[in-house]
Amino acid sequence: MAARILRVNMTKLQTEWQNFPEKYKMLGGRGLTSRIVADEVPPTCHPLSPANKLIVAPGLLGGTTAPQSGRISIGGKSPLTGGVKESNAGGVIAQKLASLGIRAVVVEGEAPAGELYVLEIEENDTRLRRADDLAGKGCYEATDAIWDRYDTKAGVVIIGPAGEMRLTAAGISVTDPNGSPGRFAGRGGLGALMGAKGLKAIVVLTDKTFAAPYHDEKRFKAAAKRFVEVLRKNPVSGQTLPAFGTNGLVNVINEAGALPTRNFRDGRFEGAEKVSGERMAQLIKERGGKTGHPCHPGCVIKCSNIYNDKNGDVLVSPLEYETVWALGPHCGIDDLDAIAFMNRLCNDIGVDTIETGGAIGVAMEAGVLPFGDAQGAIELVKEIKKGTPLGRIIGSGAAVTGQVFGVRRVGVVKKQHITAYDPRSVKGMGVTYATSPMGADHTAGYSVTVNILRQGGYVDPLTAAGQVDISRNLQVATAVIDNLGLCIFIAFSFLEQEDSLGLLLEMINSKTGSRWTEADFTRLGEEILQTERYFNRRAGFSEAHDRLPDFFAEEKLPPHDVVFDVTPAELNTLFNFRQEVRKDAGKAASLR
Amino acid sequence: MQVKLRVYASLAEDTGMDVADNYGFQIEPGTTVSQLLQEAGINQRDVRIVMINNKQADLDTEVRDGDEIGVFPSMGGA
Repeated sequence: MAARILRVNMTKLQTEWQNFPEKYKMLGGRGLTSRIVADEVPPTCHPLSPANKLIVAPGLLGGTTAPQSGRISIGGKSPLTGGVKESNAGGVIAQKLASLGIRAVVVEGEAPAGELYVLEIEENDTRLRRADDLAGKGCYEATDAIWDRYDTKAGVVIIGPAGEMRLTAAGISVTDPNGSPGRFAGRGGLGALMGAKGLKAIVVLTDKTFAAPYHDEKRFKAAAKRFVEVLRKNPVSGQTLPAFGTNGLVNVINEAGALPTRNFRDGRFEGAEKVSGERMAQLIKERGGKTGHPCHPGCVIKCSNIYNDKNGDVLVSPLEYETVWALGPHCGIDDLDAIAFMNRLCNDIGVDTIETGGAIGVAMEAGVLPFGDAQGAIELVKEIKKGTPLGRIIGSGAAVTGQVFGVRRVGVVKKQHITAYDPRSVKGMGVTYATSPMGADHTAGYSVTVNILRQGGYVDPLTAAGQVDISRNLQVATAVIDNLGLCIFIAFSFLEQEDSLGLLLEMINSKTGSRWTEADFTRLGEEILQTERYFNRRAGFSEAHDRLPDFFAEEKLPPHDVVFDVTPAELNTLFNFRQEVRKDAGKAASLR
Repeated sequence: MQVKLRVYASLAEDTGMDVADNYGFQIEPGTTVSQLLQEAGINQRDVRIVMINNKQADLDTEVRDGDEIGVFPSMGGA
């Protein structure tokens, strides 16, 4: 099956197959979405204009037997940041697209006003079907309606009312193996972009999961099998993540004095244990939920979970660390059931939990409601679905909320909210938040691993020295992992077990026929970041945007009483890659 | 000297201690984290992260009067 791109023109209501360009051969996931954005989207266009494009791409290893290869990248010009955006999620959609030979779905134009569509993709057929009956429906109800309609196991990419309202905190949901819409490409407001296209959902109708083609299948499968063993042997991916999920981090980050509490007032939260991964795992067990839940077929780490309510009914899946933090400690809330309920509401409405929690914390700062008011926070989330002015403000994220209420303490970079590690006491994260082309994004260069977790070395989190180098190396490596469509949690083996990189290269080479070495791996990561920076520069971004908000350099964070003191001059060196910066970064044809 | 020890994740499960609770220990001056763990019945090979008063420390760090020590196994996430 020849590799191909599905082009969808919402203005003409037409779809078209395109042969996959040779110059994109080694690109997938984020590498491909960012490259198509740089090649095809006018950098200065309004993010909601017909000229912007929504790109959905499985990774280079999508649809193979490589473990953790089910990430789906969704990209475009961000309605939240105004810069390049890639947000990735788990779920079933990447493997289905890759198994049909579809390397990307590119949606452009905009549907006639007031019309809403579902894009149906089958192996040899595509349709745009009117879906006015789904208008305004939450992701759970709308996904159920789609599953009822098709007799095959459909993979669904869908937006909720927030996306239809084009709110800048709107995300895009992807169904998991249970058909639940819990996997989110949450960040950067891409749901608003999909809403602006008049596209409610993309439905992929195939049972194929592991049907992507290989250059050398036997070699690939041998390497993939060994990689499974590496992941199972690693104590983080093999034991801690399946037992406590990502939420196991609450107690670690709190113990390190780095858990941002009440809108970045403190690094310790007195209610941390009540919302911790250990407590969550205990409640899940007592209530008949599930830990060790895979978010896509072939996931061997299984950090996901199914969290039930007090009656034993499913409340949300999964409950994750960043969400728990944003809707919990950031807002002074220590009620895990209330947090899980808000998570469900956010999933249903189709808004990013991090941005929404960030905005609620800012509303608390403004006195709209007091810190710790769980019921008030729940009501505020419900306002988003109603489309009230207050709901639309919260659903537009923390930067807009801060602007409307005249609040200066707003923890955003490039208008995207910071996540669950205070940049003053995990300084490597401050560097990543400040410099990532995506805006504040913890996954872009996760220095917590060496600053706090002691995986892959150790650099003191409280001093400025060395943080730029850590962030640079991690941002480059992460860009490649995102290109491959692999879950970022393979990195824990990558940092600790020497055979990991060799196995990854073996999989890349036996999948594609390339002869990559470690140097190519690094070069690709640098090129992806340069491509993204190239787009952002043309969209109007400069070094002035690679900065944290002032208050992080001015206000000391307890308990360590530290400020963020990595200097602007040091931040400016982040993208000084070892190789000479290519003048034609935006045009660089990636690779042989 | 009096110190407090907090254990987390699988270390709590393995020892039957409660997560994040403060366990008081009376120790001699010069006691290291490693020796404290031995007294608490925690296998130090299972310990990856040590924090004293919310700051990163090591197994051979000497603890001081009034210190609060938190220990974790290998942890991860994002």
